[in-house]
Amino acid sequence: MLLEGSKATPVMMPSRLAPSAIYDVEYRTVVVALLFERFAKSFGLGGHRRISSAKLKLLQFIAFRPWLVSSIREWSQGEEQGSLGLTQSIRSRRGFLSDTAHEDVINLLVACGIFVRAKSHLITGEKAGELAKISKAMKEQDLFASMQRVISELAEIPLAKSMLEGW
Amino acid sequence: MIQLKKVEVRGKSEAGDFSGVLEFAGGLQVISAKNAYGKSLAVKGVTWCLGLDAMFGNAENDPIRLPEAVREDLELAGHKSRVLKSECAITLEDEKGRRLEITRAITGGDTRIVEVKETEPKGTPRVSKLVARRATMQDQYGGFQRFLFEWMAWPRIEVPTFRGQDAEIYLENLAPLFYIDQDEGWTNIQALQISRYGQLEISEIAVEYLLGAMDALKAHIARLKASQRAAELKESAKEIEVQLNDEMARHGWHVEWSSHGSVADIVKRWSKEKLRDVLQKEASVDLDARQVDLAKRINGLRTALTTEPIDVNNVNAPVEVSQKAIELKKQRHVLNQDLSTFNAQLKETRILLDSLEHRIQAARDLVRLKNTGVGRLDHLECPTCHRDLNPEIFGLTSQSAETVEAHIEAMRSDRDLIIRNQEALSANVKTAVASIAHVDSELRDAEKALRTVTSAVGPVREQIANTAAELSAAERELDRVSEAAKEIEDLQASIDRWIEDARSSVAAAEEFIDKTGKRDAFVVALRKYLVALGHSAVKEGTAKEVMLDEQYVPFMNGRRLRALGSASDQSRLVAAYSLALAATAQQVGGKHPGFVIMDEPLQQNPDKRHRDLFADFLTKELAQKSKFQTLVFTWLGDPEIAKLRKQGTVVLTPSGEHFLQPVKTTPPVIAPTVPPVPPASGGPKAG
Repeated sequence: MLLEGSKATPVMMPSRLAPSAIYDVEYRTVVVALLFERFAKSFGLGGHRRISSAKLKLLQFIAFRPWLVSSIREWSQGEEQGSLGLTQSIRSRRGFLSDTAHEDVINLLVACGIFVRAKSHLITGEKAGELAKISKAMKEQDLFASMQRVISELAEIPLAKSMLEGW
Repeated sequence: MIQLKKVEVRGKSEAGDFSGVLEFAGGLQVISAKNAYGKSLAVKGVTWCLGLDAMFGNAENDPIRLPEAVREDLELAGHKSRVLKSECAITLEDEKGRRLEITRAITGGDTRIVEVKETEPKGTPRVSKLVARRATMQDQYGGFQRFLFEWMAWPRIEVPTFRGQDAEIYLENLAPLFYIDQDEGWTNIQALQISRYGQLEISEIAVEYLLGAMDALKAHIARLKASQRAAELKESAKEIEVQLNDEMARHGWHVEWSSHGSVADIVKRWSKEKLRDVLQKEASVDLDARQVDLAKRINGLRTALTTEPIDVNNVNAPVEVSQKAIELKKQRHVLNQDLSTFNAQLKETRILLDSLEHRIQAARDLVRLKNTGVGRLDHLECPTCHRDLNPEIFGLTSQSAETVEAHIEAMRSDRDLIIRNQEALSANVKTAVASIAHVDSELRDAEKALRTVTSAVGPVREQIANTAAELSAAERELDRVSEAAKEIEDLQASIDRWIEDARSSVAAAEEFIDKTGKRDAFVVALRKYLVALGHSAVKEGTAKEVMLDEQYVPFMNGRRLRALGSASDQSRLVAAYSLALAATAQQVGGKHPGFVIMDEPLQQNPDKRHRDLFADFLTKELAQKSKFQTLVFTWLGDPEIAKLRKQGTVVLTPSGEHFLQPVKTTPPVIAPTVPPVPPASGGPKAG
């Protein structure tokens, strides 16, 4: 009634209705591809590579949010390195615990045969080549350059096991 | 106005000399020969001789655009042979009978040079070698275009560029209006106009030049320069705004002095009030009154110190001085707290801005990824059952490029807001720093006074010391206020200078009203040609609705003519525009060279109906009786040629398989003869 009386006109702003790009599956796959290419280590004799699931989750969380790199660095350098290092990790914790989109992407990549779950690790599956292709294309086309810079910065920060536990 | 009298290509091959010549008369001529005859060589030869390489995006002095037959291998009498040397020559003639033969090497010679043979009706020929491209206009003695413009009595005119420096109008800026190229020329009016020289609004300027509308052209250039000057003025206004606001913040004053809006808006706003008045009104700072007050106070303190009696019972001096120092310390503490808060907020804002930049950049890359498909998982399927996997089952969504673009738009709006917030916080920081500096200075004075008073013995000396300290502080304050007043005066002088500059610039950009009627004549001619050429949207009864906008773009009923009619009307519009411009220039004494070359107009719409429309146009009085030269290079069937000739259209039908033929005694010459005669056996056919 009040709105009717005021002759207010509703205005649609499509830009305000658009979801954040951070929830796009292709965007997230690209980030996983870039991180896996950089951080996964050789495993076994079959030319497989693997990465800790928890480490990948933490790395991708920071890669999407470069302003958290400094707090991760402080946390890594601090004496209180464990998962209870609340003073340093508090900024990262906010949002990290509710970041389920990453788990959904990993589930999809596992279902596609790109990854295989092995306890706490993700191992390259039979279609893992697809991920390598994506990572290569990103570098060749200079796409997500700022993201790649963040990943390079993250590679300089040692992540202790204790930082990946107890989340 | 001039005519193109002859095009000749000649050279030497391993199999012997070769040559091809086309000669033209005035008015309309159709040169009809089958495909691969070599018409294009003759047409392109004209642009090569005129040094129009840049028009086609070719490297300077590179004849790559010309057929291989004159650059590499030539087929003569059924045998291929290597071309050793070749060149092209054109002959121009004006109405006084002055002739110009322009020759330029294609291969086996110096392509940078144009040889010009200048002949007066009764004089001896004069031959010059000129530079075709580099400094062609600037080189007073050796530049080909410089010479040609003088020979044509064309004025040299400089046009502003987006780079800030002026550039001349070159022949390649004018040629797209009278040379319609087969490959690219028919797609739009002035499709071959070049933009890489950076001249602003060069398409409109080229039309005005050929119409000879020099007053309109000068006004146009003045407007462009005024617009460039306006951009510079806006820039300098912004600098004044920043300098002024920094100065104000340094003193802890807040005034509204912005450089937003147009130059005229800023002039209006800035000339309404003087800076001192604004300062008084908005920041309650009256520097004159403050200076007078301080002078009075200094006098009062001096009197108190030198002649006035001292109350020996007053013991308050140490308390007053001490209290003042305490107050100032409190004030500084509060200000430091504020500064700390502002700095923290500013830091957070910068982090937020960085993160937004990162997100915008990543989202832009995501749009690229969506649009190009680079780096996407092509096919998601289960490796066991090979069924397609839908990401939505996993709670995931793949957004469209449009959605991501909308998200980028939202982030940009957020970024703008944050930038404004950052600017406001930066201003607060500057003000807080300035206030702290001011309080610090007062505190230093107060502490000095406190030390002096506490070191004095007895109430009299304490009072004297206090008064002396106050006098000293007041004198320093007067110095500061005087300095601030000087700064305000300097700023006001900058503002006044800016206003004066801006006023003269605004006056120069006044609107030009064309009283010569050249534009109107062009519109009238354009309507006639559109109707005659059979443009499907322009009929006899509706032609009066065709108008030209400020940029000489044809409009009809508020819509661009380019968007009206059918796709086949595009080439008719281009033809009508070029011919109407030549006709108008001839009528109003413009600077048009006097010839229009149209290469393969029929290939643009090869179906019969469109061919017939164009052929009909060629039989109309408007086309045949024009006072300028129209050369149409095309291929017509025998019935079409017969029909045209019957209706009085001159059609040249060169004989032989190819334009270039071995030289025996004299090269074959294809020349028009009027009235039409049957073709001579073995020689070129002329009609």
